[in-house]
Amino acid sequence: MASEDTRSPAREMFTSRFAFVAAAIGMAVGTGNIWRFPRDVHDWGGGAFLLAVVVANLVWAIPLLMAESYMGSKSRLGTVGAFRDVMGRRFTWMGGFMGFATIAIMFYYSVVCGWAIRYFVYGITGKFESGITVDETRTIWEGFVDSPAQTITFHAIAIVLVGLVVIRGLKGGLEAVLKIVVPALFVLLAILAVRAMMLSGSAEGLRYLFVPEWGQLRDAELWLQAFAQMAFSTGAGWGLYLTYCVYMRRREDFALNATTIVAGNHLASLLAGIAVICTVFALGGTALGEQATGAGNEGLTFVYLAALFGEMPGGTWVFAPLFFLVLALAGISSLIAMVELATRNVVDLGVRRRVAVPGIVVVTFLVGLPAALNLDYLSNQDNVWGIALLISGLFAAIAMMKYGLEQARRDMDVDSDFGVRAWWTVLIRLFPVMFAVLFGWFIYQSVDSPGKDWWNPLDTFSLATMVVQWAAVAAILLLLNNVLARRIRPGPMTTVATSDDPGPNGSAGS
Amino acid sequence: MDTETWIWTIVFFGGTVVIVAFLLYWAWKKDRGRASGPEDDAH
Repeated sequence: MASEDTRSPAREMFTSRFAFVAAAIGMAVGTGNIWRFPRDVHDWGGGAFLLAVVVANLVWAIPLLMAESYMGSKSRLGTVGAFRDVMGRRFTWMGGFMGFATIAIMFYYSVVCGWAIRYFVYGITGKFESGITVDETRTIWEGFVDSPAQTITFHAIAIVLVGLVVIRGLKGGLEAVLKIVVPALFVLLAILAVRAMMLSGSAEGLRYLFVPEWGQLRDAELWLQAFAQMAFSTGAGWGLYLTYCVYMRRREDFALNATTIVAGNHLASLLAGIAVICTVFALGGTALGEQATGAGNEGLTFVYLAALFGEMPGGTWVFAPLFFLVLALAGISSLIAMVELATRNVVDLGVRRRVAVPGIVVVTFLVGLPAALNLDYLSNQDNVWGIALLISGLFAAIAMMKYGLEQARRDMDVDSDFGVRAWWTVLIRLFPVMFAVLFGWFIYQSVDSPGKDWWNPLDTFSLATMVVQWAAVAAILLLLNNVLARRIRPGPMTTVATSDDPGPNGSAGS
Repeated sequence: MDTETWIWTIVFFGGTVVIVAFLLYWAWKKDRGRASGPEDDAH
């Protein structure tokens, strides 16, 4: 990328709002929209859960994405530099934690994208033929994940493909690809949803998805599940939106962009929900539908849906390949954002993009190998760093509070058609409370679950394994704090951010 | 499909489609005629 040197912050900008919004929606729409959201809606009362998700989007995702976009667009630096310049040098490690959590996810997410690519290949070669049974698709799945040669090969294909995009920089790489991939993703999802709705018996699926069981709204767990789903699905708190906003043009509408991205992500989830749940209930009936939605993400997708495509007219050669293509594209569009986050932080350290990206690809391939070889390890990492994203979100909210919510609100309001008024500052101030409830519930669940050794750091899903890994990473980053703060290149805010209190509420920033 | 399923499908799915379309139109309208210029420079 010729325009990006190693001495100054990012120079490239998205060429249009469409390109920016497309990239950001691609960041948010991932495999979770396709294989987790439909199961969650089915399990938690259909429309009642959807209502709770909408509330969660409004009070958590949109305010937090706006905070991230302010940090990225003001600092013009990745997560580490943004925290240094927005919050103060002492807090640089927090940006490191946010970046690391997402990078840790990137390591195994590449493996997951590899699965989707493998199943796309299965699809286009007619693997899910008419008459194939659930037992046969389960055998195919188990044969695949038990084959290191295959999981490693497709993990490598996924990360190399993404590396080839990111190395070309913003305009020639990310923007050029995502401007096509993201609209294509929506078109393909719409085709799959329409096809599923045309199947006889699909109304039962729509009933499960949309008709509210109002009584469920009184269940605290529904709300907590809705907030958890939303937090993971929108990408709020991951640092990915912050990274894309480094390249956001000036005078963008912070509120409109964040709302469009959250709404677009929600639409993708609903389309996927219709495609998946209607297919399962129409072709499998209620009994198989219940089995499929209870079979976990991989079970639903790679075992049950794969088998049901064999029963669908046109399923073997058209709809199975299309579905797994959608899954692969959704994963890759998110993986691109993750690799860009890593790249931005490394470039901020003074490394050229053409050197940084191959290095990140190699490291991702190597560190992702255990996840490619062992599903328990992958589940552990998914649990540890998935939950850590809540902490990252809290860090972003705290950073904005330290910087000065009123100043940030005024800055964002200048170009916003949606007035950024007190609602934003109130919701960011409330964020620690929402975090405490969500996180507290999670800890309670972890400790209270019978049969789980919450205190055992070697247990895949224990609380202790999470705390130990978070603490280890935080400790290392705290030790490296000053080195990182010094080595990250200066940004537009850095001249006023050399003290520990850079915000407009502090002397240095006034 | 029963009436209840129709209604809630239209409320949740149709509502989301309309909101997304409206937001995209709004964003496009706001963006119309705006060209990248010096004010879009990062510095």
